[in-house]
Amino acid sequence: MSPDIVPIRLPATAIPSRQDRPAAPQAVGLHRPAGGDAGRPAAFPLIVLLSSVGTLAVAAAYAAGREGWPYLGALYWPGELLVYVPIALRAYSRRLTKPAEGFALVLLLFAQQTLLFRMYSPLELKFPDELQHWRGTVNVIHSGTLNQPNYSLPVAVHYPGLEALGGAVSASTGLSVTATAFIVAALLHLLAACALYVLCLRIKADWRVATLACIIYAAEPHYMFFDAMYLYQSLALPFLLLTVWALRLLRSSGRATGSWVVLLIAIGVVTVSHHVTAFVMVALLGSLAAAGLCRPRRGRELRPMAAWLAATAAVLAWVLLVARDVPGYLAPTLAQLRGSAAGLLHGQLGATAPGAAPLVEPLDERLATIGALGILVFLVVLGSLRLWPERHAEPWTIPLIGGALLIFVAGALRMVASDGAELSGRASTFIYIPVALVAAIALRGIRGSDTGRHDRGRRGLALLGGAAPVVGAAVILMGGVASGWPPIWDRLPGPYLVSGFERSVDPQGVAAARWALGALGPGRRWAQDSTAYSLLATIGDQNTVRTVAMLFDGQGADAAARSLVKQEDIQFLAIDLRDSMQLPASGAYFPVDPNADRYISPLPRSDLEAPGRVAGVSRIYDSGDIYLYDLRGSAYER
Amino acid sequence: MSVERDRFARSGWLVGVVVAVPLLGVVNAIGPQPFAALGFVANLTVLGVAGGRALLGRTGLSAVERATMALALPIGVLVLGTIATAALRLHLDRQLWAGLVALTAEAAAAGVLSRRGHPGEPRNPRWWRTATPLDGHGILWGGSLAAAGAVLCGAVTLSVWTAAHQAYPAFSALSAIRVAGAERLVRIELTSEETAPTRFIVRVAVGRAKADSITLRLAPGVTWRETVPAPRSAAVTVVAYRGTRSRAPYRQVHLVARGNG
Repeated sequence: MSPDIVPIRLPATAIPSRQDRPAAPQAVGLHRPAGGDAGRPAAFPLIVLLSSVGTLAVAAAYAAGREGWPYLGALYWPGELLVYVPIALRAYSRRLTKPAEGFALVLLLFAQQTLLFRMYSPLELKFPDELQHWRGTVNVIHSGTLNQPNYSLPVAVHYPGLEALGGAVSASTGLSVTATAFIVAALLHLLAACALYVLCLRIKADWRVATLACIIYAAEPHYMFFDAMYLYQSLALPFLLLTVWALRLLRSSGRATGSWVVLLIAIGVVTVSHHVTAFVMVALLGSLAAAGLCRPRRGRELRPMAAWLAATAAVLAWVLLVARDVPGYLAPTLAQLRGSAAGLLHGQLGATAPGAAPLVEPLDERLATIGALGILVFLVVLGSLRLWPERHAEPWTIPLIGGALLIFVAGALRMVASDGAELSGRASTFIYIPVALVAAIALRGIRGSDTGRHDRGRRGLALLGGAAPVVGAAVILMGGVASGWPPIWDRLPGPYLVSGFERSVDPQGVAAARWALGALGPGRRWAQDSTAYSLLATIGDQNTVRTVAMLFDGQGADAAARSLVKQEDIQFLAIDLRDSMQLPASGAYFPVDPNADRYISPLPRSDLEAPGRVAGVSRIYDSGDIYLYDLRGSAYER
Repeated sequence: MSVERDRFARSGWLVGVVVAVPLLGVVNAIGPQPFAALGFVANLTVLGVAGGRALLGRTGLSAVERATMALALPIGVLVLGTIATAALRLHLDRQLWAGLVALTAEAAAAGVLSRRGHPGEPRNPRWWRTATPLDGHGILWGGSLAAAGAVLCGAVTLSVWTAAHQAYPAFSALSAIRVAGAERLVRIELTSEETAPTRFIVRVAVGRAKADSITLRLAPGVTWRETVPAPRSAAVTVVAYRGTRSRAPYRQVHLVARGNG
């Protein structure tokens, strides 16, 4: 163990053996038996092989989705479980005796899950959120500045960290922005995994706990897809973890200046990269500062307070001077939360609230979600009870327990808010950090306390004890995937779906967006459905309008439509006739859809063709399903 | 790790790094690819490794922590450095980024050079020492890892192949737009994304004049472009028929007449 790592004192049963300690000078080879606690030397490569077979199974399921092969799609879940469960079991196993193998398991899981994510769309960016930052990066490279408007995500212009990084890598290496996005996103995901590992190691000084925490966190609902994307949050998240790690490092003797420099760099990167992560950083450092101050005078810690002040000053300055549109950007989400809270007061829970998405997941996935939440809640409570006696010795104990108990908030959010699954998923990226650590502490305790049970001849209990980790790991993983992204109808790639996010990105839509940019130039004002909203704003660099549903009601240029066109300065209209063939997969045809989740039949084709009959409207593009109209000078503008 | 194995502990090696960094920066700034990319990556590596060493030293940090710093520092410097230079209204391009990375890498290497000989450095036992597999397990290790590699290659190949050959409905796109700045011209485009070379007839009618017909054959992925004169006061209708005998319009666009132009 490094001499400067200050561990939380463990209960007697959980004190790691000398061989467990990470920096022991006598640490031996990766797979060389060490005393009686040695693991099976060949376990690791076999786990690599097993998890690779799982990755192949998921690849086959993806291929089945694309090609329409029957039955092979069913390989998805076995593949996911084969990737995760053997790694999780090895991390939990007493046979794991080498820190190197523990960290190798973390890296293996990272590599396999990154492959699972990228194999969904291995040749191009399809996820709308990634396309938004692809556009921002292209703008940086083309303009040589960071202030080019990004119509697809205006607030990102004021959080240009990812675009700065992507632009630098793309311009310096000559790689395309798409290839750059693949590489940068993978590196940031790797950095997040490493940062979580070193943070847990610094806090707990137990490599087994750090390994288990990383494995548990990898089952977080958004970890495998959303958090691995080329997004501004993906850059901010590892630096949030490094902020806390550097703060912890300050406890070490010596190198205080260097630690402060690292801390300030991390604070800086979070501040300029992502708004919500920046606010989480302020809250997190605030809780650590408060914990440091609420101690007897002699044991008071002032460094967290200084770090919190620095972070608060940086975030406040950035929001007040640069990113002044952040409150407006976050206002709808906050209003939604307020509305959900008000609904709760009126007895409307989750899916029963007006406008709430119906629960469409199959029963087994809902059960897995609830089961995963239940297991984690149990582990968090158990881990908190184990940590509680250490609260006087270790000032970070209370914030750690408090953060982990936020899992109740995540669960409640899922039940209470009308868009609870989405909000809960987004929040889980942050909440699962302490949850994973406290749950790992609980698992470490369980593992330590059942030593020798097998020797007592209780075969039934032993069998049960052997099956429980398998079932537990499977449920945690299934629950995470089922409650994360992509949703069930989007889990496999496949043919075009109306309003299906990445499933709606097809050559016809992309061609229309490219044509719009080439023929009309950037920044034109458009009305369109959800899919075109994403493609025109990103690939087409067009200035799309969100509240446009009334232009698709078949009434042509009535008073409301004319008023909207003039008020929003709408110049062009994109129509996709496929909206008359399918119900929207996501529940909404338009970016802001007053009838979301209430459609019982597709939009009438006559409604979609109505704008083409309005006087003065030119149809300037026709690709069969997609019509683009020029509204300038038409009855819409009169 | 012993002094001999720690390259940053040898002054000759360090001086070599200090000399090489600006040269790599020049290659990165003006060299051809892929040498420019190699220079960029090399300087980022120096920045990460030397920067972490200069700031935090070696003692007390685990191998994973050092590796994490080596990855995080270049990212942090690129992000904050780019934003700082953009705030100074400098044009962001390859030369600027090459200079930024080379400058910070040089500072990091110089920082390590200046810290050499500090107490406690560089002797620090490694946490993890790799070792050759025990007798009899080498084949199992090698075989398992090779099989895993082959399986992963198969998975990636399957994904790439099926994604590249995913069948989407074929389509062709017809467009017409008045040319900006010279609005007496209309630019017509027909892009074929059919599955095979396809013959089209394009009929262009300007105002009340008789429509002109153009017959063309387009391979998949090819765009045909034509610019025709058309005053703003005249409506323009363009109809594309697929095949040579088809009477049903396949694609149709029209531009309404505007004013007296």
